[in-house]
Amino acid sequence: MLQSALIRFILFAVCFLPQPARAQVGPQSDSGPRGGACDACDINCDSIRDIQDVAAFADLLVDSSQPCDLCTGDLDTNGLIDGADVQPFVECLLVSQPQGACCLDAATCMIATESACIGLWLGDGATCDFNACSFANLTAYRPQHGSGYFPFTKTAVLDEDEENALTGPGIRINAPGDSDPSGEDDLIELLIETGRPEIPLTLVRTHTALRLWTNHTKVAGTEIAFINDETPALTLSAGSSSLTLWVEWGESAHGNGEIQLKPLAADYPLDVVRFHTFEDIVMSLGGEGQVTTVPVDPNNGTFVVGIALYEQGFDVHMYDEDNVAADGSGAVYNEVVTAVRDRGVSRVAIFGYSHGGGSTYDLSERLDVNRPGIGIFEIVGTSYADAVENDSDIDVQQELRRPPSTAYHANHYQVGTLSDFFLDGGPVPNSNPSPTGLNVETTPWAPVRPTSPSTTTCRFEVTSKQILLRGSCLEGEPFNVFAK
Amino acid sequence: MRHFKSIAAILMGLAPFFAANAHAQIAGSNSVGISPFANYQDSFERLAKAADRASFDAEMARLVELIGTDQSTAIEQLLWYSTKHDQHEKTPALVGGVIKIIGASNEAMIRALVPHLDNVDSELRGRAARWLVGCEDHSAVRPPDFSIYRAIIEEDIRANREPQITLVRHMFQSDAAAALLTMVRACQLRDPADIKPILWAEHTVADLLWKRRNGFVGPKDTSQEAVAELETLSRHSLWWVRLFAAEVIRNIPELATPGMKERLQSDENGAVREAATRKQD
Repeated sequence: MLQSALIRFILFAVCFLPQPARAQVGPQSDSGPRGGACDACDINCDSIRDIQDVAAFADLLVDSSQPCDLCTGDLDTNGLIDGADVQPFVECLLVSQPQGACCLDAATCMIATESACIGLWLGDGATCDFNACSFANLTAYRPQHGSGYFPFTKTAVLDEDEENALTGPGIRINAPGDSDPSGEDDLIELLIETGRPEIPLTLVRTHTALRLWTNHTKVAGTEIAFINDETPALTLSAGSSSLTLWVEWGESAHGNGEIQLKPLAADYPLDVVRFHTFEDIVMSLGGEGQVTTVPVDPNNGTFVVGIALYEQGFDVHMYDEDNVAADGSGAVYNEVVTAVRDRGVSRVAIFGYSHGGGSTYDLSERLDVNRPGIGIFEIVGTSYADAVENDSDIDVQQELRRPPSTAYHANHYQVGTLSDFFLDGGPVPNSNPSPTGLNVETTPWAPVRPTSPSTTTCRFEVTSKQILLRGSCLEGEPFNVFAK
Repeated sequence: MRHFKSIAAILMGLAPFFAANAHAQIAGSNSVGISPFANYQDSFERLAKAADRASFDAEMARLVELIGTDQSTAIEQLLWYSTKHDQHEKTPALVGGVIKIIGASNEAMIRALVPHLDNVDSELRGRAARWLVGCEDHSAVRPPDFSIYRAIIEEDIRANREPQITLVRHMFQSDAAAALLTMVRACQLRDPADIKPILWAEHTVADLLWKRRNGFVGPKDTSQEAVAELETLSRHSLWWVRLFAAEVIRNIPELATPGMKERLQSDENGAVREAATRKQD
């Protein structure tokens, strides 16, 4: 009897007072995005305040059945479900409850009230437009050199590569004791962009070696601390929708780990970037008079190839060959030694054109001679393009010596012509194509097949991480210049 | 007016001398220059612009005839040409090609180029030094071969002249240890009591560097023995011995005793002062 009276009373109220469009905001609701909180008015816990809750409320009142959530039915929050809750219950059913996009993960969006949203509620009126829940993005860049990116342009890691532990963002080990010849340049730039600056974001790491800084030279006080591998809410400048941070691999052991961008109030990643430590280093040496420039001179083939490799994720260092002295010493040697000693690099590749080929020999020889003091490494591949010894600027002797200790050597040479005053390379023992390399004038050139904007004129094709370079412009079977 | 013009002409004529003398104060020896010879320079230019192999070969034949046996002049003229056509990326190949075709030996290169370490023109001085490096057989597996300079240095010593200071400096800048040993021999030291302390000091320093290079000690480790030997050499009566000490501590400052660098920076010899003042490579 009491039950039907209550139902009639509540039905009367619901039927004859103005109806809400759908569910409404409850009295406990906070403003702004939040996950699904306990809603005292949602009596049947179906995340919607509607007529179905009336009967459930009546049940609670009459038979003391267990509420489906802690606060359910206790509208006046006095700890009891009783007659004092009836009036607030009626009122809460009648109050309009706004809806908005509710993100369960970066790809799953539904329209719900804030209280009904068990993911990230984007706010009143937010719609599930394309990528609504993937409103923030991480972009990692390829490594720096010295105080900036020269001789490369600032190059973002492609979205399709950013979680790949081979082609994704490589990072140099930067454990204590590492000394960078050109200054601190081992941190990787990480750009955070958000379409909803009002939603607090956080970063999560999956490896403790990953550290974050707001400054690429690690100025004291610019590190962002992780607490249980998660940062506090990231602080964007007022009016800004982006933030630039710098990622460091601060341990001496190799590894890989993710940086995940997440909403502070939800447990799903908006974007993920996987960093892997560099175990290789690639040295590219130009010919006499060839200097690194931005943009690259398309006639400087070794630099064109170097840039293509850099874009693919290798730690490439490009130099004027004059940075290798005739005894192999100099800035290039120092860079390799530092890489092996301080950064755990164990594989070295070197290639050069003309005098850069001669310098490839000189550098390889010095690295090989001084191994005991450098550390464990392998010269995995070398390549000459028309190599000439480089004892001085006017040295015109063909470089006919195989670089010492190289695991794989490619050699391409031509017969000198008047255009370069008969300067040329020559056959080198135990080179590829076997047995002494290739006199390119004995093989017709196929049409150049551009593989990327920066390799349209080169004689090599960069193919994959596993196979560094292939002579793709030659007819017949392509050959590996060197393989990783 | 005529008198004024004469004075002006005299001053104009002396200008190169003043410039050369300014360099001589730094280098400690006389400065020289190169006068471009039109027949050589024109020939080089025609070679550079040869349209085909036949015209190149014909011009080369004329040049070979012009040079005859005077390779020194040809090398000097190539040095001048190379400097004046530096902006052309193929100039080094042309110059190297000509030197190869005329069959210039290392001996001829050195005889022609060493005087130009005193050239009044810094571009020519620098280029001569770089070309000389190409004659020294540099390698990671052995020291450079400075024996090629011994005859030149010995000529000065036998004539009771100071050896060409810029040549000595060139060697020490390139490889101080090899230079020191070359000077010990070329300067005709005869008494073992004079030779042994120098050899022992060089050996002690070289031993430390060998241990560093091969990982037996850390890359920045020092040894008391090496520091002590360098300290002794830095007070030696022969300037080129002090130059060794100055060059070593320039690149390895941790081997200097307190005050050693400052003392060498005020050395009575200009080359020693310059080495002690110059920045690390």
